[in-house]
Amino acid sequence: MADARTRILVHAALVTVGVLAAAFSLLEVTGTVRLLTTLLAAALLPGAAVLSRLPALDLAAWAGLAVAISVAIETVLSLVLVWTRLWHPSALAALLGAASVALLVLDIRDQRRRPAPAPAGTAE
Amino acid sequence: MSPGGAHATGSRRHRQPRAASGTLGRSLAPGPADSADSADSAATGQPPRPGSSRGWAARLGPVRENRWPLLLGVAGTGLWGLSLRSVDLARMTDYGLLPALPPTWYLGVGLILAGAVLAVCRREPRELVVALLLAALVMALYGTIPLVAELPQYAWSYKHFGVTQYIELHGSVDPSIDIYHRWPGFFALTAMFSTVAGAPDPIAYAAWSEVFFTAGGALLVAAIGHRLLRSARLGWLAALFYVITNWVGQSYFAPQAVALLLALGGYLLVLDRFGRPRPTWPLRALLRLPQRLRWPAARVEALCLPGPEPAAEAGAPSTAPPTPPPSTPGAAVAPAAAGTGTAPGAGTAAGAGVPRGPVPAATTMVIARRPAGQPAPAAAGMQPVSPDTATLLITRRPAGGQPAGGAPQAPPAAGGTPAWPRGVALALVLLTHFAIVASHQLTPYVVVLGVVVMVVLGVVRPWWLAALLAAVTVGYLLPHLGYVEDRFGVFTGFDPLDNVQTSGVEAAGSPMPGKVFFTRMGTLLTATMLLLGLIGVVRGLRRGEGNVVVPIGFVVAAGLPVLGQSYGGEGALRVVLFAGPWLCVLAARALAPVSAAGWSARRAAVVLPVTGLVVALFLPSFFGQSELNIQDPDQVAALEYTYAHGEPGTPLFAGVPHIPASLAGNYDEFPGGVPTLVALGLLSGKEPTPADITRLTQEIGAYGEHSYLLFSDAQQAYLTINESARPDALRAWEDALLKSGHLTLWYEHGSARVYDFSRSRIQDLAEQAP
Repeated sequence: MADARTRILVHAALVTVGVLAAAFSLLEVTGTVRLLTTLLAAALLPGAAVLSRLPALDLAAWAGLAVAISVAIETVLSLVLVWTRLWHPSALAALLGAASVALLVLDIRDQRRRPAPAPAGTAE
Repeated sequence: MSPGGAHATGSRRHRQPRAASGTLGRSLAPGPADSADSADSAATGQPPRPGSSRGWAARLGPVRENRWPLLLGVAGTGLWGLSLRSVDLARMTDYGLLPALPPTWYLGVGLILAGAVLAVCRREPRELVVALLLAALVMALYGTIPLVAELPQYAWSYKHFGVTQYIELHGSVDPSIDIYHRWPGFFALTAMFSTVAGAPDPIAYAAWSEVFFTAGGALLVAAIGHRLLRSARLGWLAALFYVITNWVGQSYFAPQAVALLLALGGYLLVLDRFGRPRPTWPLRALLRLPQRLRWPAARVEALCLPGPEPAAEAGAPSTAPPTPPPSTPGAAVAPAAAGTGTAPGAGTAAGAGVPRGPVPAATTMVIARRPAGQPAPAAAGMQPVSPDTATLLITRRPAGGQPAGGAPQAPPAAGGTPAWPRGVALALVLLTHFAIVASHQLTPYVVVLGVVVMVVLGVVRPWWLAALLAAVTVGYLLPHLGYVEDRFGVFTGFDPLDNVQTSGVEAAGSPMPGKVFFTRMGTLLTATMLLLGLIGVVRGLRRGEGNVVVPIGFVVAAGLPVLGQSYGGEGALRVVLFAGPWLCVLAARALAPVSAAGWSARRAAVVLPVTGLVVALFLPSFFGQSELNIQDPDQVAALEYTYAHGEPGTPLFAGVPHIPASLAGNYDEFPGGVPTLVALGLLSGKEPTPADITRLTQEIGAYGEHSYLLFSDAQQAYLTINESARPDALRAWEDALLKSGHLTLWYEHGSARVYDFSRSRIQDLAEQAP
């Protein structure tokens, strides 16, 4: 995602999804809305946060790797909970979500601070 | 986030006209110029015309350009949605769901497919449009059953619900229970998700697994195809093939689904971040083979992409090497000040053009400078892989040769795109691989074999990456080796022909015609993809595209496990599953026109019939077992009651296999496995005799004092379809058992009944008998 504007929009959307998922969990909302929000957050948030620290990728690679990396992170972390018998999935999800949101917010800030692109016609 | 994002900022300085066919166009984000400008400038090397106004007319430009694909997609999705109200599951037959689907369903899917194909074939395809239409197709094909059936399909997925709920209940695993507790990655993940999402029973969302995993897999196939074929358009076409060929049915709520998704992610990371070809002698020998047919020498290009063009920054100096002007496309370039590098082609392996030996960091690659004021051209054959290694990828194409999809890929941005820190790339590869290793028994070996093949060919470096992945894989197996050897065997035999024998329909007694039909269609679909793959290889090699050996290598790797494992009779299906994504990439190559000018709406006249044929084979392959795969709510309710209220330790019998058993979190309290009357050889087309009943009760009594027997109309359907039994065959046995007094009705829900079977009752009756 090299286009700063698109990047900001996507990351802001993901941050929103993450916040909503957390809110639904805290408020113990039930139903499809919470399920979908949590799925979106789980499927994209951690991976997008990791990718936000790395050079840009094309759309398909970004989306695919965001999902794969998210699934990988969550699989490994949940395994840690299971194998250590410290089964606190909500706490882990909250920590992971917060860290992911923080990284995305940082990226949004960085993108907004980037200098505006050069006007047309500027010699190279 | 698309490669064309920088265009939206209005920058002209760093704007690079896109090749008409080598890349997808901009996203639907508003842009200053029409896409046709980019195509023209790509062809001529001239700067694009000044953009049109930034009003709504300009913003709607991309929508207008894609009105036909979008219209087809919207119309198709609407038709599909409306058709769902007319789906009547009662009309399912041995031909599966197909007779139950109304004509509007087929028309809707056809329109979506046509829209997607048209979107891909346009001269300037829009990435977002293609992605949306593919998403609609995924929803139509894989979202139909979740929307019309009450419960998730596939009986064997229900035991996965049980393992997930076990972890939710206990917060841990018990390796003594079954193999799932030894490879618990997927279940730990779903247990966490279920808890956080407020849906403790995965039955609430598992039906949508196929939509999720197919969509995720399609994205990764698109990215992989983009890199292998040097064309984002062909990458998306490969993704389209992936969506319409995923018939094996392994994307459901299961460890295999997540393992395959992670494997595709791992492949992408390995190819993108470690794909720096330096052909070894096996690859050189392979690449020389086409020359015997007087085809051009094949070249293997690096597999990473520079990433999308970053937004130009005012005053930022250009740090990337300038690119050669279009008048010298594919010109050989040499690394300057490399010290140890060599001139391309000199002393390098045929087809590599990659300097041997390490190249010092921060090496500046000098190429032909373009005159001041001349815009960045479209044609180029090089791109820096990373500034630290500075490995230069050089392509010397034969005269008139073009990579797949037409014109050469656009060069990297003037600012260049730094590579990922190597440690990060390695960490991500290991992370995804460990998640695979801890989730599935077979997939990690397929991944390792694939990477090994790539290392042997010299496509992926360094060699120790394969060793590392193998070490993780084997290291995880070692503590469980004894368990696996005792219960399953690490190797089941070394006859690959024996290992690919399936335990499917052909193994059934007397399957009905519909069962035979769907099996044949699956075989035909696989054969079609193999043929398309072969065509893709031939067409690629004829154009000197050595990258086609990469998917060939992965297809070979996918078949290697059957040299020693039948995987419970599913060996052949797993080969199809793991080879599928690579065949999709080759199939996309097969359908690419000879030159860039060939991509137009008219190209859809070639692509659509082929994909239409594939879909026609896919539908019976995927939906042909639906009458058995779609679960009976009454039977599931009966089983849920049994696990909730039954006496722990009591065996459960059923009439036929493929019962959705072990679906509760306390499934470990009951004996594993469900013995069936079919397996006992007791169910047949004949009426049960008293001797049959006596034998049956003795067989059941051998399992313990008490047992539960489950009968249902769904089981009768299985008998009818797979054994061609008469419609009341199972009921006849149930009634005979009831009349004998051996059973007591314990639970009844709709069409499902659970009986309590007591061995002592048998003895009492035997004592009372004359």
